[in-house]
Amino acid sequence: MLCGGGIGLRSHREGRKLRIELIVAVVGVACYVAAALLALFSLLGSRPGGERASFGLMAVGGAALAGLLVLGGARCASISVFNRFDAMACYALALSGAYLLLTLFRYTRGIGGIIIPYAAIILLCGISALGKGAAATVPVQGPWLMAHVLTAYAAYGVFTLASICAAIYLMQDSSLKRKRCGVVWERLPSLETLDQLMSRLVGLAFLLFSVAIIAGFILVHASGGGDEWFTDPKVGASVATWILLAVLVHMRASVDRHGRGVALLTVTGLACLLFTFVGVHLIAGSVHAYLRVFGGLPGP
Amino acid sequence: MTAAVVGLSFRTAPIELREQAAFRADEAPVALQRIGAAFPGAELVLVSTCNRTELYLSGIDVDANKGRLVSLLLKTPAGVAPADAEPHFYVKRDLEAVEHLISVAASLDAMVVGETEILGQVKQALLLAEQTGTTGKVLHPLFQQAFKTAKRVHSETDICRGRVSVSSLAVEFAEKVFDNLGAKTVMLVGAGETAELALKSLMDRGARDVLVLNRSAERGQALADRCGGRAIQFDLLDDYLPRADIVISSTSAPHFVIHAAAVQRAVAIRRGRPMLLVDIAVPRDIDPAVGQIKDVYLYYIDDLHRIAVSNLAKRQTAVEQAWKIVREGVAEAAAMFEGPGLRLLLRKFDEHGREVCETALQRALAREKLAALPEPCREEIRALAQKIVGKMLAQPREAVKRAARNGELENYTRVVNDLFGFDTKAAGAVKMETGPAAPEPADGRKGSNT
Repeated sequence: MLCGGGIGLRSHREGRKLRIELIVAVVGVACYVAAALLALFSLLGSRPGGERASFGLMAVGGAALAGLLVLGGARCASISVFNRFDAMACYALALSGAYLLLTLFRYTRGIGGIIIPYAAIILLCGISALGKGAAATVPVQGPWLMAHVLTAYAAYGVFTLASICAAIYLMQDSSLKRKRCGVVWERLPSLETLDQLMSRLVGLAFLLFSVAIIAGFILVHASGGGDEWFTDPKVGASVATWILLAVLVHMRASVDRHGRGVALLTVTGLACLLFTFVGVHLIAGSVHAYLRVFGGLPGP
Repeated sequence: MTAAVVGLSFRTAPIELREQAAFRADEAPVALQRIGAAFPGAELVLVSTCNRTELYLSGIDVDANKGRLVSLLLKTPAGVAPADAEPHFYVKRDLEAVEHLISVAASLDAMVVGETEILGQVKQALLLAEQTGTTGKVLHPLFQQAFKTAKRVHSETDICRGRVSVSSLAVEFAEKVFDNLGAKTVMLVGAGETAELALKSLMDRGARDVLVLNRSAERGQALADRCGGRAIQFDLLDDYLPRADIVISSTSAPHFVIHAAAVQRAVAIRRGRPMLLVDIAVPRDIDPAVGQIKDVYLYYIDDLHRIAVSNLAKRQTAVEQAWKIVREGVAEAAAMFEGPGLRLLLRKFDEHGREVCETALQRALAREKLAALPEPCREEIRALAQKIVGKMLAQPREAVKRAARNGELENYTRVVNDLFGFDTKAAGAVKMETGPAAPEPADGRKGSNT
């Protein structure tokens, strides 16, 4: 949304535009929060219902945030995800987009009660960086940057969705083992449905992540980057995540493994992904650190 | 309103008598036609389930004809004398009958509160009556109101939440583990009655591939033939276990029949695909260690009973709330039927008010002092007088509307006739309009306005 310099460098007109963008961003986040509350109520409340309304609110919030990111990108003629809020918004959008696409092909009752609150929390994590510019300009540009960033975020979103399905699988498995049939148990899908979703989503995430890594390598090569990229902790963490995804795909496609073990590994994969996305910047330096804003978080 | 119900249920009659009055789907049309022939022109709906047989009717003096109706409702009068059976039959009239119908449709009067099958059975009964041509302007809207209220009860309360029978719980767990029961293999170990019921429930939800293993090959084959499955030699249990997604066990063996090692092997072969095992045998057939194996879900009969009791308790807590909705439904039905009478009575109020107002105004304005008043002033006075009369009649009008909602319009109509001196003949017409024209019964006796 915000490129290069901070608010102080902007003209008065740009300042007014910024205020409008801020309002739209706040409205977008508010929609997500309201959708999350509705979805939670629909999952945990005494009466089901409200899932459709939460879905609609999330779509409205998503459209507002996507519009802002596109406008921001158009203004700086690049991709606008180098601010903590932008990065978090992009991640939340990728997740909600994957969820929306999933519901187009297969309506899965109840999982929105976990996915939408997760997306809302992600957005709230980035809200303190709202309206603040990125610390520095990106040293590499071009179409490969676009391909790298977009596919990486799409992979993040799809794999997070798979991991949430895995987490729900573990919850359902635990309820069935303990013979406790609560309201949440009733409203969430069957183990087999979740297993099938996990399997397909992990495959898609692996494909997208592979494209993102390849695009990243091409980008570095095209921009004449050196070894610092290949020894970068973020690149290492990404490769580790990719290997984990490859193991998961292998377990599904070649060995035909199912069940609790695979679900546990998928949830572990989310931890790995979050470390690649956020954690690596908190504990180590990275060439990707040009994205850091106010001690904040990076892009992919 | 002229609706009533005569019938018996598990609350009033033993099973031997209920059997005499139970009509199968193919018998019900014949029974309905027989009763219809005895009471031509009457509206009739026959609801017959394993727990009740009820005849909802309109246009019959149910008090005068109870004996006849009872004998018509008994399939084999030779088996039970109608006079002996009559005390077991109850009769409910008007709003009591409406409340009963709604409580039956909403499954509040069921043996297991909240079982939703009854709503379908009542719908089926109405459909049959429509096909036979024995419904009309009383019973049809009453049943529609009952369906509407029953749906409200089901959706707005917890009355139907959680299954309460072993077989339906087995299905519920199966549907929480598997996506499509049609693609799953069900293994039945032993041929117990409860296991067969559970299998039937699973097959109702789409399960098709059934393996039956029984120590007695003949019984196993017979059961396999009944359910369209395959009979397997009992000794091959461990070999067939990996193929089974759902195992229902109910042998009378005094020892475990399914051991942890066999299940562990099966799970390894299945590569983590889940297995659901339901053991409804006492003593148990499945080693408890099986429950510890990953991706295996084991339920004993006690687990299912515990969940059923807990679900039933939850349903009971919703009963009060459900009755509140039923009472609202009854009030709506009452208002629906009292509608024409109410409209007529309100029209009488308006006419009476206008008449009083106009008479008084004409007399007053004809006097010498007021005769010279210009027309705008006369209009002002007329408007004021109408307003005063309207305000005076507002409270009685509201009270009459309230009475109609509570099903007390008939009593209020009498009082209003007395108080305001409305034409009693016209008020009688009000009463006649509240229900359909009562047909003359076959015996020529005059139908009362029940």
